[in-house]
Amino acid sequence: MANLISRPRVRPASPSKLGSSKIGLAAANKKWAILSLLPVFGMLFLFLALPALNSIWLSFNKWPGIGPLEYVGTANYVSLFQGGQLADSIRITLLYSIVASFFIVAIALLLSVAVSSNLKGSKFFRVVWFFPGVAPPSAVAIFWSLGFQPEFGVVNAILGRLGLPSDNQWLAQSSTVMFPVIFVGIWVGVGFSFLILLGAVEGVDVSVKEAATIDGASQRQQLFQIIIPLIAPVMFTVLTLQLIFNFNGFNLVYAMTEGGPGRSSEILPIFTYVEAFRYGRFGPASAAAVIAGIFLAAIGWVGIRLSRSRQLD
Amino acid sequence: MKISFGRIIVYIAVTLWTLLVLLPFISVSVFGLKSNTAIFSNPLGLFDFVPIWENYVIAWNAGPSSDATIGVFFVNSGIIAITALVVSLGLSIPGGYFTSFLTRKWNQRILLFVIVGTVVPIIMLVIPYFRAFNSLGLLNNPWATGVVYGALNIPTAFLLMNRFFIDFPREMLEAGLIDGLGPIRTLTKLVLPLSKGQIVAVGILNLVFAWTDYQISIVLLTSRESQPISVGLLSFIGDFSADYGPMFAGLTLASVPILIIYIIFSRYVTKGIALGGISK
Amino acid sequence: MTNKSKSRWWTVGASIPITAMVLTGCAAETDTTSEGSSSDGGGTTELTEDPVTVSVQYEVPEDGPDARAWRAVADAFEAEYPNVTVELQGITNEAKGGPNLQVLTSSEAPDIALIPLNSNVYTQMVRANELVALNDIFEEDNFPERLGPASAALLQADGNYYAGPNTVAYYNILWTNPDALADAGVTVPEDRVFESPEALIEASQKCNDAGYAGLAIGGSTNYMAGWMLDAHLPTAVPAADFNNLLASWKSNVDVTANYTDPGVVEAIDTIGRYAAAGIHQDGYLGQDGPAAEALFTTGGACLMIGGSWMPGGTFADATESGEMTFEADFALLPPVGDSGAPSRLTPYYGNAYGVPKQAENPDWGKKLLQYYLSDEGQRLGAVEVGGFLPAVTTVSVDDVETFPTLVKDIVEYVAENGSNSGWTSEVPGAFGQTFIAPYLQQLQEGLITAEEIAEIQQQELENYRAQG
Repeated sequence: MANLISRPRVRPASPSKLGSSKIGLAAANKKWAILSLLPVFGMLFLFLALPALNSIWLSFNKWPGIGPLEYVGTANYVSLFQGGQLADSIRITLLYSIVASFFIVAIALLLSVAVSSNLKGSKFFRVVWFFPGVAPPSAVAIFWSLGFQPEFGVVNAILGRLGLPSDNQWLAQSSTVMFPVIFVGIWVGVGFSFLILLGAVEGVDVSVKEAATIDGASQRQQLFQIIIPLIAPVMFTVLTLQLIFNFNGFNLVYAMTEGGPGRSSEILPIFTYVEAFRYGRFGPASAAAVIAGIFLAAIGWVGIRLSRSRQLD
Repeated sequence: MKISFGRIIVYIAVTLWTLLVLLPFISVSVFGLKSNTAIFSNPLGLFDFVPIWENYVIAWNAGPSSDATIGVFFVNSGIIAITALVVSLGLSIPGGYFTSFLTRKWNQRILLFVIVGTVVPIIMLVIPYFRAFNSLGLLNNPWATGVVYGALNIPTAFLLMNRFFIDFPREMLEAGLIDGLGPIRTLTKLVLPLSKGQIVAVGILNLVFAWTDYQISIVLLTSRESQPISVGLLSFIGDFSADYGPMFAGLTLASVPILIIYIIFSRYVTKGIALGGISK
Repeated sequence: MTNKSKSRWWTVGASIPITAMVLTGCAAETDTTSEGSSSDGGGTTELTEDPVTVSVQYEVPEDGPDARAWRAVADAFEAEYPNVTVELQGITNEAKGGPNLQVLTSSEAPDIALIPLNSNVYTQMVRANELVALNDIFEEDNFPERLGPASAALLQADGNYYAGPNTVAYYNILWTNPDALADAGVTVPEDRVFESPEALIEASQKCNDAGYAGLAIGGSTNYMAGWMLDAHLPTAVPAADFNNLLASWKSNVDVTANYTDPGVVEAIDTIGRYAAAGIHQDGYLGQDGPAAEALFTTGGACLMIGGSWMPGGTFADATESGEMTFEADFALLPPVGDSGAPSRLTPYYGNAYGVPKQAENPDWGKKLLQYYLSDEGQRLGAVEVGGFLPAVTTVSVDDVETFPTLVKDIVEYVAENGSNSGWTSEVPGAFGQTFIAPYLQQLQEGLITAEEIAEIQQQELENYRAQG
């Protein structure tokens, strides 16, 4: 089994493989493909498409949480765009999602390059670095919220010992609240990206690296001129996944700040939640969710385009 | 190989990151042994206090009744996770497998269609789910909630399984075909035993989602007796809002099982998502 | 009925894999609706002697006063009706103000629901006629008379009562740490009221100099800044204007006072001035109520804003565990301007209970609620076990030895001086408390002016009235 799995992973798609026997395989399995896809699409339709359509419909209605719907056309969208909060919320979500995802992928890349270069204890690191992604988000949020308290928090205490400014307000101030939020987002997210990128980095053909070493390329040159270009498609995939994941990230941020102080950390999912469940405005909430969906689709589309175009290089 | 300057930097960076990852876990479990005063007066202190082991006992037994303690939350999480795994793997393995025999173009199209689902904001799904579950009388039913998590896991599970099966050596499958194994028996007798690692990897990823998410279960599972650890933890935290010792003890207890499961299966996870993620 | 047809449509969609369940689900839905409307009119429904479980919501923590009070009431009720088992369901403060709405209108609705009168949940449920009228049990026990003037707010436009409070809570109490105040050289005025915002600011600066936080507050908790507004507002505008502000969100009440009036602006602005002067503890906007309480009970602050439920809860617990080593006393926030009433404590009757129409055993729910709201139930649950003040005026706390002395003092103080209504506890949350909270946090950070908030609130008044 082991040698089956560790087949070279980065390899060009080879059309020559489409021999006659493969067509035989394809023919034998074709009707099973259709049969097995039916329940898959059925579930996706029931649990994703249908509720999504329901939300889109809701976004054109007024609904306080109970009772009948009242069709209001595009009024929900108009009022969202007229009020300034949606724009703020989109800005905050993009800031959170882009900054956190960028750092996640950068750190994960560095860590995976480090581990792949025959580092001692790399098995241990592989296991441990994914821990933050596995722990319950409410536990993570509680710990870090206390950690970022200005008076008795761990973070300021450590900064103080290092001789750095230790009177930071962190979560208690609109201008600084996104630092801890993004930091914890990164802390949680690196493990997953690291594991994917590690696979890609290790998949880079050893002979390519050896050739580069013989050519006298420094480690930094190896990283930027050989490894990164080779694994670029994977990096874009990981970046896209992270952007989508963080754009959708409700659990952590809500548990840390509830969107405050004021509404300064109110990312779109929290905006949606607050509109619906605190104010009972399910129509505008659904409209905000639809707008979030459009952003997510755009991110996904760009991500797919980028990773494809890189692949053709 | 001589130890270069670069290598030292690498070691320092790797050690720092490991500390950053591990220290919170250690702190939380140590906080669980402390009194409020000890937590607030010296958050960095890991040794200089008298351990209150009772905090862990309090945390384990806490709950409005014996039907809603951390132990019960574990059972519910288990039900949700297992149902979710059965649904997502049960559908994604055959789906991903047989799709891999279609032409590359069609495989891509189907994949795109399946993963489009990941761009739907989860918060957007919650209200329709609630209304449907309510009219079906399925609220407070962890099995039914497990099906939802299973369905939401299908896109990633399908993607990763499909990528794996595309790389599966065709020669072996052809051998199966020649031996007279039909398509189904080729899958069950030949392919599945060789795919254990990948299945475990995808399963763990799905498990983590079902175990940690609370956006969905907080709405579909309102009675405490039916709640999984992710949601139960929230009310648990509410119970100990001013009593941090037992609260952190509870957070530790809540994190341990999933960490253990992950540690046991971690070697598969590393390989599984690496393989899946690499593919185009 | 667009909604009905929509839920049908959904049902059809979900029916593909589980047809049988759909049928039962649909049947159950129509069933409960018709049952709910029938239990509406009758007060003489026969209660069965079959085993029955009555479910009740209480606010967490699970070993907190609310839970203990309900448990005691439930035990007494179960003793009287052996076939009844009372099941307590804890809900969070967060849930009771919003997400609970979905539960209360679902097949999982409890028989007795916790519905704050100033929450969106209450507004929507009354509007959608989703609560069982309680007129019969209220009339049987003279509940409105026993409740006193507060009952007026309970009576709905259709002449029905839909919810009853089990307690009155006084909030906007400035809990004081006499030891810390003495240490800082601050004397609280004889009449317990700080003379002016400047006097309060000066006092807390003295506390800071002596190493204490001034006025501790749970700044990230979204309703606490609103409390201060409740204290200021009646002192800042003439009584007639204040009463209009309390009522003008209803579209049938004429608007005679505006939120942009100078008195209102001054009341809001004072919150910003406190913050600018640094009277709150460091990092308060990132700390919730319990964090502020922990700071106060461990002696770290001179003052804390809180309510009458604390002596029997947090203070008692902290004293027992040895973390609180002083005897707290109380004071009042200063008046803002001189055109309104003097500074008084604010009563909150809003933590009310009702019976959802979707409940499985609405009649038993009414019966149990009736018991809790009776003098006997109030005395047993609220006073003796919960340690909070009864909603009804016919139960006295004076002769109850276990009752915290500090709260008895507060009752006495209110009896002598009266109280002021609280704006955020009387207007609907989506218009008042929940709506203004983030703006007040922004004000405390200096990111918005009081004038701007006043204008936003005035705009929201027009929106809210337009919705009907």
